[in-house]
Amino acid sequence: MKLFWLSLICLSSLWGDNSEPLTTLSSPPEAFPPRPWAKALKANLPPAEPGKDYTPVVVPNGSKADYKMVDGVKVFHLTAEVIDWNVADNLKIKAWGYNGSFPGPVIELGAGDRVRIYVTNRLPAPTTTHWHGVLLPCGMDGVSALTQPAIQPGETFVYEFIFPDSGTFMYHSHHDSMTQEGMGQAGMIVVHERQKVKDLRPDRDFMILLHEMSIPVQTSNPDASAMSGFNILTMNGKVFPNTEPLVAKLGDKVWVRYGNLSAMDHHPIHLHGYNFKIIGSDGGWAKDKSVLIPETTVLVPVGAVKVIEFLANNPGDWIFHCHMTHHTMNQMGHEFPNMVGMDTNGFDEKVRKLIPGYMTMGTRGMHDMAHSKMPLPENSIPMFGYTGQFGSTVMGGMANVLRVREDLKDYNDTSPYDFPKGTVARPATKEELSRDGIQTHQGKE
Amino acid sequence: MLKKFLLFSFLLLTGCCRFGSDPCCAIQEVEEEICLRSGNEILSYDLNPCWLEEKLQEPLDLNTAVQITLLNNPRMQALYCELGISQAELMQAALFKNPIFSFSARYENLTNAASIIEMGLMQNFLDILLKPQKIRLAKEELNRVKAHVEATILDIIWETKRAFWALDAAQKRLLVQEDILEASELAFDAAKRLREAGNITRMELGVEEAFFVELVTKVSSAKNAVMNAREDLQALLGFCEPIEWQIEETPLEIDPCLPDLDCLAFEALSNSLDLKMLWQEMRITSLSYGIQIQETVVPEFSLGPDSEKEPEGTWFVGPAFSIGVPLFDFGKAKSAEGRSTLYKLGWDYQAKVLEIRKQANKARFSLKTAWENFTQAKEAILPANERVFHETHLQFNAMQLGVIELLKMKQTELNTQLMAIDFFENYQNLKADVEKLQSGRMLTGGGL
Repeated sequence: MKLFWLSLICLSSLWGDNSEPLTTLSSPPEAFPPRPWAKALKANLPPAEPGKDYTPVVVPNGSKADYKMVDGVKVFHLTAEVIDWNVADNLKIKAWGYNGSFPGPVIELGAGDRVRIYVTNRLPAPTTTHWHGVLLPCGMDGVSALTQPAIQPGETFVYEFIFPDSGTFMYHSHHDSMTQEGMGQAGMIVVHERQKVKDLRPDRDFMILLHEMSIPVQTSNPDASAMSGFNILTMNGKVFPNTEPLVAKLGDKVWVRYGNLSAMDHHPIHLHGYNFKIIGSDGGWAKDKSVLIPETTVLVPVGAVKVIEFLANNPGDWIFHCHMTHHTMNQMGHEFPNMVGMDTNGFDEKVRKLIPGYMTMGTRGMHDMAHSKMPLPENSIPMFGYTGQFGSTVMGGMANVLRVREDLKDYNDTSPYDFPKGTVARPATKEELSRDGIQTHQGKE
Repeated sequence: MLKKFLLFSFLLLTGCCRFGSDPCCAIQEVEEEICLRSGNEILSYDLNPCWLEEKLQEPLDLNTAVQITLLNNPRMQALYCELGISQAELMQAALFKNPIFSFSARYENLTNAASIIEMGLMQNFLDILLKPQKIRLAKEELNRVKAHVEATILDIIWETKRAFWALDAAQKRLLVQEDILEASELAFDAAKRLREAGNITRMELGVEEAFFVELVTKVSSAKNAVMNAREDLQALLGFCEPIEWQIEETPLEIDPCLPDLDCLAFEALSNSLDLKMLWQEMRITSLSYGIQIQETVVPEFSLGPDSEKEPEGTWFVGPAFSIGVPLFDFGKAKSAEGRSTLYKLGWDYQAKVLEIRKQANKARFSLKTAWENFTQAKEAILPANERVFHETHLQFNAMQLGVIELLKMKQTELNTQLMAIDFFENYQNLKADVEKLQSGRMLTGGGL
């Protein structure tokens, strides 16, 4: 019998894999200085449970990664693969996502959770996965050739480590990052503080990954080598108006966690109607929120995470968007000439004799595009605007709406805001103009 | 005896005048031959006095234009006159030469009454003996002239066809050039408006202006081409005075299938008028030299009655003849000349056969290529460019490119139409060349 098992072991060593067993989850030897995860490993906390230990994060337009428990370890499986992804209703692209989505599913954990993450590569190229911002053993860092061999197409690698601290992190390819991140190999990780007292947790916790691609109109493959001229700016893989609104009840403490895995652009995300504090990054948390400066715009640099906190004390529909104005247009034509101010009197009629259906656009800016009924190239969403209850906002791209409601039945209610009477800007009456001595260009009123 | 002799001579003389001077038979034969070879009927004013007026009420198609040319072109009348000349020559060839009457009177010592009177009547019997050959020669000449007239008419038909297609293509090109100019003018207009709005530089405006002003010259050249083509066709149609006429707007279409031209060389050779004329030349040469040799050997043979009155008053009457004696010249030189001429014509014939075969083969291959080129243009190039323009328009609607780029792409699409028109005209011209070869006429300078 012993001979049998010995033979089996010898034989398996001849053709089986010779991987060394992972040791990152076992108790480490004492080291000085102590490793960042040493305390967490020693604490050996049970796996955190949603609801009990943390309020789950909300991922608009997105999903969360499933896991199973194996001996107290949360086991995840990420599959890096080529997918068809709808950035908007009329724009389908070929992205390199995880588990059928772009960005990949959010990995949600509690501080101290031990994880084993299998990554299967179904891409046409080798890849790795880097856990951005996570303090872990070097061999789990996911940098191809430096900390591990690349995962070849068809192979499955295993990463195993502990998340020592709460925070907001990201994961992305670290092999040919320009191409693979550019094609969509990106996702977010949230590690909650284990907080049994629900009142001390945020009431609403949102996760948004910012990303950008260059996808010429009528094409479907992102140009990952582009360094400028990005024309598809997404929040969780969608462009406005296809981004799912954030819904909060009046009085909710709201967190929004922004991660930015764009190729080249930082994004200053401006929130209307509120100021907030930037309470965290992928490096950690602010120790004392009282000294933080209130902001209305948070700059989220490339490769960084920012977490903002505010009290939802102002009801309404509040737009929040990247304040780089081109980033709120979908598939903006960067070769389109400056048409603003052009006198088109009689011009269109002359052109229509030669080109039926012609219409000059852009003389008043991009407004014409939002209302144009002209036939468009298939698989394109050129600068469509969000149609609100007062018309078209002529906005797209990296934008979304925060809906704050007083009487909210549930957080799935995305109906437009019912403005109280007399609180909406409207055309001034003659009496008002006269009363306040306002002269318009038509003469004294 | 004398009376019988004189009666016989009279009957012989009057009976030989059996060919008239009216070439109407020859003309009819030519017209029938033309109809057989080309399929074109030659009308006449006498039978169809209002035909031309009726036809000019409508735009002319190709067949009508050819018919008008055959009816109205003064060259046709000139050709018919050639037939008249040859017919008259045949008539002349059939007539005997008039006899020569001689008379002399001699007065002794210049007194009133003539002492001696001599009278004679001589007829050139060599001419009578050679008459059948001369008639045969004149008939061959007439046949040659008929062949020449047929060949020239086929040339006129061919010229008319080419002139028709030249005008048709020029008119089509003018329309397209005008559209291209319009597109450029609109681009210039847009550039001016953008410059006024402060959105483009003077350089950018200047570029559009330069394109536009250059295209104005292309349109004026296209108009000139139409006028020239019109004049060419008008001259062929035989219109001297200003007359309102138009040709019909033909669609940009050619034969759906390529005609089978495998036997074109055989047809061209079998039907060749050029070879026929050369063959007739050889026959004429042979006959002509036959007569010349005989006339060289025996230059004269005359026969007739001769009489003399003596001073005493006695009349002496009797026959007289003169005949050339072949003593020095037996016609060898003439014979050699005739032989060499015939050999030369023989080699010319062979050379012409080669030339006709070459022209037929070139025409066959060129027509095939022209058909393929036009079909490619119609079925692939034009639709591809239309699709490109359509997609460009969609990109414009998506505000990915501007109005000037859109108009430039329209010009590009229109330019491919010009290419298709060139292929169309080339095909029609080559088809006319093939039809000419099939009808039996070689191509002259305007063809291959």
